[in-house]
Amino acid sequence: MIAFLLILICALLYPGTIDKTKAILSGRKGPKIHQFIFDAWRLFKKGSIYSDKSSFVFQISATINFVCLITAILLIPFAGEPSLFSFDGDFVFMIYLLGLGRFMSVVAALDVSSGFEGMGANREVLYAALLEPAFLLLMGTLCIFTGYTNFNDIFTALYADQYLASVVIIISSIILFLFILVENSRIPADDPNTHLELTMVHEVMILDHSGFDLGLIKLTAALKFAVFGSLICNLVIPSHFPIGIKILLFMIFQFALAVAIGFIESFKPRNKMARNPQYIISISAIALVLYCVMIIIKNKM
Amino acid sequence: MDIILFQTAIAISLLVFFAPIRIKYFAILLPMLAIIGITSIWAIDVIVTHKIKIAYLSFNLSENIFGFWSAVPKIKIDQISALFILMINVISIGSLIYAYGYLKKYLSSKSALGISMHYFSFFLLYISLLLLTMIRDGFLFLFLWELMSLSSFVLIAFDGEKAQVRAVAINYLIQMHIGFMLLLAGFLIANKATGIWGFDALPIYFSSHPNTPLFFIFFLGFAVKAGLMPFHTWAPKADPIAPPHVSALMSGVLVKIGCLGIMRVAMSLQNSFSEIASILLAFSLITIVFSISMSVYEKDLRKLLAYSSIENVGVICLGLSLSIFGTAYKIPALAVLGILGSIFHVFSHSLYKSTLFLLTGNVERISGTRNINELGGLAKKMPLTAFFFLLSGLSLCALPPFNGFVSEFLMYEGIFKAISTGDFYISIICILVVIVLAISGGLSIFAMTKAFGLSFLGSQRKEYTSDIIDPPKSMLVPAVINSILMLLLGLTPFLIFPEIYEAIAAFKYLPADNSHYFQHVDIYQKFGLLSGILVALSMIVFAIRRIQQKRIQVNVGPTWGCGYSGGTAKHQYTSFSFSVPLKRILSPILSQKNNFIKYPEEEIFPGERKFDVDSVDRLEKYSISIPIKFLLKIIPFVGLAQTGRIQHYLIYPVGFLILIVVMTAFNFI
Repeated sequence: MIAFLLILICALLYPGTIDKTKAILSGRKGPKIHQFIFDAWRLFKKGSIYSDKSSFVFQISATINFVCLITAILLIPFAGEPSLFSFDGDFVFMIYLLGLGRFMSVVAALDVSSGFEGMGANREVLYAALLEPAFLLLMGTLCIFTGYTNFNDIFTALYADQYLASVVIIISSIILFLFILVENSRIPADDPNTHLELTMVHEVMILDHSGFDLGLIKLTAALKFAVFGSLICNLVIPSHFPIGIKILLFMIFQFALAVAIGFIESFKPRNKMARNPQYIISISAIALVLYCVMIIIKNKM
Repeated sequence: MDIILFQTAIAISLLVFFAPIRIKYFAILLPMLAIIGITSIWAIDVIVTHKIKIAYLSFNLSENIFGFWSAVPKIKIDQISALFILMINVISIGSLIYAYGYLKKYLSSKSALGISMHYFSFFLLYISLLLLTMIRDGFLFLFLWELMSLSSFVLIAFDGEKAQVRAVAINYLIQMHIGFMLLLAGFLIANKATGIWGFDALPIYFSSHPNTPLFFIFFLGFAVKAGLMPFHTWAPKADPIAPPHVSALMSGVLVKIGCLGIMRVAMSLQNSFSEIASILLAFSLITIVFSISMSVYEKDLRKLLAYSSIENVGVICLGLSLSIFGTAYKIPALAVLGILGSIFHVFSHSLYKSTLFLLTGNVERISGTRNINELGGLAKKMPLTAFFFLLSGLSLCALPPFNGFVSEFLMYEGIFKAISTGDFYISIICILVVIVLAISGGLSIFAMTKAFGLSFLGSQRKEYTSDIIDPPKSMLVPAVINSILMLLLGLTPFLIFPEIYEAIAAFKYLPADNSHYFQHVDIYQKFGLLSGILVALSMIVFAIRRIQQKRIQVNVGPTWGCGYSGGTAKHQYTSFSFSVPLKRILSPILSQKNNFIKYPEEEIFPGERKFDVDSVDRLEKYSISIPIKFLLKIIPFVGLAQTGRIQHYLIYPVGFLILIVVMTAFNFI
């Protein structure tokens, strides 16, 4: 339960923190950190315009995408505190929930018969297909390392071997961080602030959404940050710490992650579109290397 | 009593040839309903009482009278047969209901005999599928196998006036017979060693002989029917050409009988597990990767589905191979969950794939085409078809809360359990499988968003002559039933798990004590609850959205075009452009054929031209087309002996007789 609430709070502050970081780094004052809450609230109260080409799919897509993320949060533990739902293989359930959300957002983009949105949809499904192995490889590594197959047990057992754990945790966190950037369509895979629709992935898919649906989509994107961010937090926060410190550390790490994303967006250019598949496959490759290292470390040969 | 009813029903079905053309449908429907009733009662009885049912399909005569003939039609229904019977019944009745609406148009154009043949073949196919799950005897099995091939051949050739249809149907028939020969060889080998005809010979044979060669022969024979690559080439050709209810039955059930055959042989394996598992793994991984890529690249809606069926058969065999690996490397979790996932996938795939084929039939009936590039915007005109297509599509992509996800989840669970406890080899194998499953999951989302998004959503790419509306109810009813079953299986998989646990007891190689895997019921209760939460939350949020939208202004406007207002349907993504990025990555697998006429140099003012892209199946090219070309080159040399002169032909036997005399003289024979 505690993870659920914390992730919700963090999600609301994520976009603001990233924007604030980017603003400060580019010498502007920037909006407040909690500006996103007002934005989302305003969108929820606003009216909508629907494309005359769209069908029922367009109406349900944002809702299902949002609900998928909410359900995914139920599976995420909080550094030793059990999650609401935990069973063997729950990470597979989580990644497929995201897949359902993606399916719905892609078909909604194809629903308005726009060439732009088709472009985004096309890239989104391709990148997702290439990215999915990275997460499962990473979880496979953690399964070998701890000998468990669900989030709760994996994160609790992670600290049994302090020295080895630090190696695993650092590399896994890097992989997860790279994963977050692609999954959320941020630099270097995609630039949400680019002026040209031709070069966008996620933002171009939602061009025709407005009002309540757009609010849900923005909230979904923020939740995605918080969900994967909290996985990194689960990795780095030792489960035997007292609960108060854990909450504090959780907030600090999530904040640091948002700032780091802001930093990268300020200093790094976006990849060329044609290079993106290569970049995404390389994330899986890193995960595969970690997996092989883990087989050797665990004396399986 | 039930046997007599069974036989009477089969006899009554012959009346279809004499009935007036409007009643022919019911002449098949009634016997089929009767048989569905009887066999379902048998199956449920077996499932409830946990007893294997044995019966004799002869006219109330005991075995003794037929004692001189060892092949008394004896049926034996165990748990796994019972589950298959239920599946076949559900899919067949759906297909038959669909056929009522679909064939109405043909009643005036086709000859009465053609219609009767079609219905009767459908009935025969259904009966042979049913009996194949129950029969263990070799002769009868092969007879029914042949009956299944022939009746499906007649069904495929429904539009036999077209030369293309005939060519495909004959191609199908030839391939099926190659498989048949292999099966015959397999049974013969087992018979020679043990003296028993049929599957009962296998445990005895396997206990005293090396397992791999015989398994491999059987595997190849069944793989032709199951459509594993590179024996898949009949499926993408036959499925688009057959009527939709036939494609549904073939893709949904017929290929599963091939899988059941492989399982039946695998059940009795005794040794060399890791070799056999490796063979299965290699075939299934190649099948999965190739076919899902082809399916993304395909523009023909039903060909796309056919390739996806091949992929799913690959997944089923993958589950079986994982299970054998689990046995070889002593990981009970993998052994049990692999086969559990495999069997569950058989049922889930048959539900969603038959629904998809039937709904594609609706699209084809109304628009006259199944080319994705010519469809578009159907969701607004035929919302029900679109809605059920979406549901089954989600299930096909193995997404929660549908049944397709349960089977993939079972396999994933087994794999990760194996990774966490297994040794070096199993870790390597498992991670390979994880990568392939993950990529294929992503690509099936790719294929399905393409199929659904481009053909049902967006705006219409072509004008059609007829009005686009949802077809009559009979063509939607099967989709409704199947969708409800899909959702039920997805939300409450734990209800049928105990039955499947009973069924997999037939797999003799599994660890004897797998009772502690009943704890999985607990996992899947949470799993189902979470899926339920997903559905419930969606409804709640959607209700909130509804309330909010009632209070505010909702407008309809044109699609945002970046300042450009002249957008037309031609600006949308097409099937080809949607799959181009993937083609760049998978260029060794995918290849294309461009159909266009080049501009000659002297043509200064060129007229209108058409450009079209077709996908080419490379595996088919290398495994079938090129060898056949080679054969065609050799065959003329053989033909030199065929001169057409009777004098020459008389010389051959004389030469043969001389040869025999000489060889006997020198003691060669």
